[in-house]
Amino acid sequence: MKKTLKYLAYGLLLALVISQFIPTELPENNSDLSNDIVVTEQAPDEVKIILRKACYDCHSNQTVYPWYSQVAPVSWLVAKDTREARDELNFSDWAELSKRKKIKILNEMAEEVEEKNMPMKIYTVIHRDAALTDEEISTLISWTKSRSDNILGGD
Amino acid sequence: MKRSGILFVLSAFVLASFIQMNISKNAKTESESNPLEEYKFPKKVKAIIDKSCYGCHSVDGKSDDAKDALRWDKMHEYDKAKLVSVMDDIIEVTGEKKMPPKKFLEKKPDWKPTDKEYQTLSKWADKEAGKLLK
Repeated sequence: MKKTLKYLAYGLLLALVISQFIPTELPENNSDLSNDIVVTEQAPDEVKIILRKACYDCHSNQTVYPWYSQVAPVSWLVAKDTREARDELNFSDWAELSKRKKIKILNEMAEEVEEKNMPMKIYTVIHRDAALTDEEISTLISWTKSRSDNILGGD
Repeated sequence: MKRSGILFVLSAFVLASFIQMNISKNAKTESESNPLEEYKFPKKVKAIIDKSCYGCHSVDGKSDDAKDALRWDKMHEYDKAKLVSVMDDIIEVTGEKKMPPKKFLEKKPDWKPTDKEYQTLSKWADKEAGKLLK
């Protein structure tokens, strides 16, 4: 029994070492903010802070990659999730979206944080400060509403 | 053996990180008898909705996900922003023919919209969104 466990552990360790040699490409970062939502929608500081800490690691070109995100198999998960998240919504490309898309995304942002689907649990378990407080959630929701009203023509 | 114990915990953690947590929401169900009357739909559009969408995206629907995404019978309660996003969704799913879901159409082939019906719905949604955005 003990022996089996030992072999299993060594096997896993070996797999972990070998997996480091499989190339993974973490999505690249870009510091250009000219099309970014916080700039183009003139987000107040409190909103900026929320977006940066809770959303930007996946939904922007400004991902902060901690050391363990470079280590397989975590790197595979981070690379995949970040790529998919940016495809779905990238706050760094905000200005390129049509008015219609902007309104939809603002609406979805409110829904996702209200229902606590976003930020994802798997993310906030490790990034504790990304878990939003109720106050932060309502700050974000009222901001998305005001931006979307603004795009609709301020009524 | 201490070391293998640590390794075991480590590998369990790695495995666990691959399991995506999905907390499904239980939406409230309420009944109401105001079908497509309150929001103004052109006749052609209404016919397509009745045929292909209404069974799931209304009070009759069994899936909470479908009802959370869109309730045709509650369109009149949506605010402008929500309406715009609904229209954008409609344009997206008709363009890619993502709705009704393929699996579902295997069971209910007569719900399948024709290409022309997809276009009609998409054009209508585009026009509605345009009106809302002025």
